[in-house]
Parts: sequence; C-alpha cells; structure tokens
Amino acid sequence: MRTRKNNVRNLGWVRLYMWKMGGVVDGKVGKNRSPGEIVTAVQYLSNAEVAKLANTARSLALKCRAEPKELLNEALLRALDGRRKTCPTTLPIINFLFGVMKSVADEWLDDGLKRTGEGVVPVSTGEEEGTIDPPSSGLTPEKALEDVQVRQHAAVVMREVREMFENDKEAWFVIEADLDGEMIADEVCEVLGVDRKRYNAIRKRIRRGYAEIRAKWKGLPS
Amino acid sequence: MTAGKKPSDPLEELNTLLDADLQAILDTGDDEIIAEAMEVSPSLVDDTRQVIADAVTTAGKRCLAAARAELDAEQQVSGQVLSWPLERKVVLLRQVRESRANLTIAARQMETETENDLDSDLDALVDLGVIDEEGNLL
Repeated sequence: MRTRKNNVRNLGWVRLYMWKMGGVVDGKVGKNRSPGEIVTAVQYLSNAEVAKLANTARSLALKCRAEPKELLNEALLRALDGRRKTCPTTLPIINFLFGVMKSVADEWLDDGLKRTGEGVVPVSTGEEEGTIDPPSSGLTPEKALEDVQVRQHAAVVMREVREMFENDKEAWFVIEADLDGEMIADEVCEVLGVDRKRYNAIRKRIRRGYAEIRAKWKGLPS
Repeated sequence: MTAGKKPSDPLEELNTLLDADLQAILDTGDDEIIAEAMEVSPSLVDDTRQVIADAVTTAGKRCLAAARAELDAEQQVSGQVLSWPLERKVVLLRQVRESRANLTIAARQMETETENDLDSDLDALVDLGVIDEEGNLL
C-alpha cells in the first residue's frame, strides 16, 4: 500500500507518455518534429496528400512485394511511435512519410523476401542474370547471398516492367527517360508531343502497370 | 526526374524508376491525384485515412505501454525496501534519523503512524538519495 506514491506514479506514466508524444525535451525545441507533432500533422493531411500516400504505397510495394496498406501502416507506425526520429520541421510531412516508406520497402526487400515466405524467384540464365555484378568484397557469406538475392529480385521486377511497357511507346519513353535521368518532365512532354495532362495520364498508366505486376505475383487484384 | 547516368545495376534501376515515380506523384495536381485514387478504388482515400487513424491509435498504445513498463520497472526496484517486514523498516528509519544529522527537521520528524506512512517515508528517502532501493544508507 503506497497510495500517495502510487497516485504520483500513475500520473507519472501519463506525464511520461505526454512527454514522449509532446516533443519539447528539457525546454529545448529541436529542429525535428516530435512524434506528437507528427501525429497532428498526419491527422490533418488533405485528401490529395492522402491520395499521394496511397499511390506511393502502391508503387513502392512493387519493390518489396508487400501489400500497400501493410507498407504504409508500418511506415506510419515507425513515424508515430518515435522509431523514426529525424523529421525536420522544414520537410513537408508527406515527403517525410515517403522517405519512411522507402526505408521500410528497402528493409523488407533486404529481408530477402523471407517476410512473405516466397523465397527468391529464380532468375533464368538470360541476359538479366549476366547484368548482376558480384557482391562487394568484405561482406559475410550470408550478406553476400542476400545481396545477390535482392538484386535478382530487382532484375525480375525490371524484366517484368520492360515486358509490360516495351510495346507502349509513350510509357516506354517515360520509363527510359526516368532511367536516363537527363530530362525533366516538360522536356519529356515536348519530345513526346503531349501536354502535361496527357503526361500525367501516362504516369498513371505506368503506376497501374506496377500494381498489375505486384498483384500478379500475389494473385491479388491490382 | 533527376540528373544522372543510366544505371546498369537492376536494383539501382528499380530505385531510379520508383524515385522518379514518387517525384511525379508529388508533382501531380491535387484534383488529378484524387481522381487517380478514385479510379483505383472509390474508397481508397477513406481506406487510407482509416490506415492512418489505426496507426495513430496503435502507436499511441505502444507509447503508453512503453511508458508504463518503464515506470513499472522503476517502481519494482524502489519497491524492494518496501517489501521488508515492518520491524525491519522501523529499524531502518530509526537508523536513518540517527545517522543523518544533516537531514531537514521535517525529514527527521516524519510522522510515522501507520505502515503506509512508513512506506511513504522510506519512498521519500529513496527519492532523496538518503537510502538506496535495497535499504542501504548512502
């Protein structure tokens, strides 16, 4: 029976929670958003920002073969429970969440697809396999194997992307331009002779293709 | 799109492709991106808002659980001396009063009428750093 102390301590975990969610530590206001500020920011996302998050999750899920909702959920949890500590106040929250989703997708891919229990899709002895460089020296055998498996997976994804779009002149041009990285969107529009609306429609078609590839692997609707 | 040479590594290629797509998503106008989401599923925005709401709830619960666990652990440690038999606690409190002339008058004249009072006093002495959680004089 330590009533007084217990009462204080019962209030204590609330205060500690508030502190953890609140952000100001020892009176110092940092340059990063606190988890509490991130909570507020995500709750006030506009419909367009939410749509951007959803579309991004759909695209990034292609990389790690996750469900878009799973990927977004994990990214949000990391952002909100403080595991992802760096969220500069100058960075739009949507860009921050994109970054966290990318990290999660990288991590899940690095898990060597163990997460889904699918294992690595074997790569046939074609040209793609030949493009995979040997792993960097200094890696442990396990890490070197993971490295090869991750790049094998990426090679399979890229092969499917090529197969899906190589006969779609506009989409293929945009993809090639993305890979070259030497043209801005306006230049791509000029070369293709399309306006920005049409360009965005091509982009949408590409994303739809990514979703189809991802869904094909899982036997799910895109 | 970012400047750079065409990558040859498949992983680098995939990353480049997805980065370009993410940038394109950011650059897309609000109405267009909402329309795209509606085409995927009329409920995609609402469903995504639900994912966000669920994540906020889950993260909040996790933070609360972590904070509780932290304080429970602390309480468990400081509770060691409080689990002693009553007679031993009385002896300890007497020892403290006799050996710590520099304690404030209030601390030396703690009113100890019940075991609860005794526990509170010992707890306070732990917090003051006069004794440790195992009842050792510091």
